Amino acid sequence: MVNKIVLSVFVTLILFFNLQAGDGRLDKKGEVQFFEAFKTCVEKVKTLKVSFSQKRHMAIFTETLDAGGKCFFKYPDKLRWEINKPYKSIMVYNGDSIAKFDFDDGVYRKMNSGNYDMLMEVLSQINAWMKGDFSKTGNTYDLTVFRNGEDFRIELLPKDKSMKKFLQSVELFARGKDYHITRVVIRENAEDFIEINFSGEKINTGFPDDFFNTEELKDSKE
Amino acid sequence: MKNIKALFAVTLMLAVCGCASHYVFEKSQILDDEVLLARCLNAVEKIHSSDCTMFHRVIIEVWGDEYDFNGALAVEKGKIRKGASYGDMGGKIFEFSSEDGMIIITGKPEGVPECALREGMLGDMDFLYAEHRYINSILVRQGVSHFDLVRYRTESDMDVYFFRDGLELPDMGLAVRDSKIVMAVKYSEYQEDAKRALCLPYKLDITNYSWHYKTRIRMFDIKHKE
Repeated sequence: MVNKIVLSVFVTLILFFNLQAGDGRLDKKGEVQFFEAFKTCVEKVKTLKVSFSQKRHMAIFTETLDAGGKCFFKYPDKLRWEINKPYKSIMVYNGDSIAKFDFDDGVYRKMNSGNYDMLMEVLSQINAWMKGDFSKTGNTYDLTVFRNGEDFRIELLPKDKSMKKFLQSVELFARGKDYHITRVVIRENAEDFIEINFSGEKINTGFPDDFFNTEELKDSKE
Repeated sequence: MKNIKALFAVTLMLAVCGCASHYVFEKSQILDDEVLLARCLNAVEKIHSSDCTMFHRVIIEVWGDEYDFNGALAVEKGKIRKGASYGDMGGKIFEFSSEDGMIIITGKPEGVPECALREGMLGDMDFLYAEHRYINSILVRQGVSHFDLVRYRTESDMDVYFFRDGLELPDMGLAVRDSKIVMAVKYSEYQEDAKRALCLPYKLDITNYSWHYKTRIRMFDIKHKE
């Protein structure tokens, strides 16, 4: 009986370590090569339209808060994040300014956002990642890259103690064949996290510049 | 985040020295209509669910600056049980739950004073969704086309509901504390739930006079306990 238990524990441990090996951490040289390849691939993307679905897991609720929409990116510094369901809201970033539009009573209305500085910081960070630029990320996060079969996972752990209180990690999942980000997981703790999955990307189809106008909303006909 | 701290600090100061209108009426305005009173009490019952989880989008406007978030709020047995709210891209803004009838705030922006949350937002939620005991309820004619259902929690604390003549559900609600109007809510986009004999408002526009902010709540889903 004891032998059986020892054997089953042993087998479990082997299986555990084999599974872990599938998500292997890249060494420093591998990381440098990864980011070079990543940047080379994403630099070819001049415009990107991609659908996303996000799922917010809440520690105190069993249900999730779900939302979906489209993300538009135009090189080098234009980003538009459109949430279409279950409500409508659009964030537009054009490098210099940012605007948020809320849909209510059948029309989009520009909000006077009180979180302007924070939104600028978040969207400029996302914009940099869209371009494959992780150069400034290292100042705020400890950055590690893992290979998982053909694909990669970039793990960002905040350096700052006060930031760690509300952010445990950010994980970016990149597809190996073209280094495009397919999934992002932002984790506050084990039970509080958000997953964003991207699909249906359209590359270099182009959008007009005023699509990223922060003064007046140009509606998405894409 | 610094902005939100500064705004709440200003709000806290203004709340301390702020003043609100009084809710007044004369005895001659009281309506003696038992049938209408019963209908109005029933209507107010219909706009509250005592066991559900609501999923909503919220925009709070404080001195012209707007803060938006999405969240969930659970009501159990007529009491606020728990709630959480998050930014568009996922960051947690507020979180609270109740233990033995006491609300414990487990998440809030660093600079937001707890009293602003408890007396402001949580007070609004309590008016909107929690069940209360009333010592008396009366009807008051307030104009040519509308009347109020006045429900007394105490002699000077009232929950007031505006009814337009001919409409079955209230247009507005007022929280009157110590005879002063501390909060007003405009109800619209009612959705009928015949199975549960409910008709819940999916659009709520709140003005909190005590804490000087406005809140727009847009429900996108309500799940009931089966």
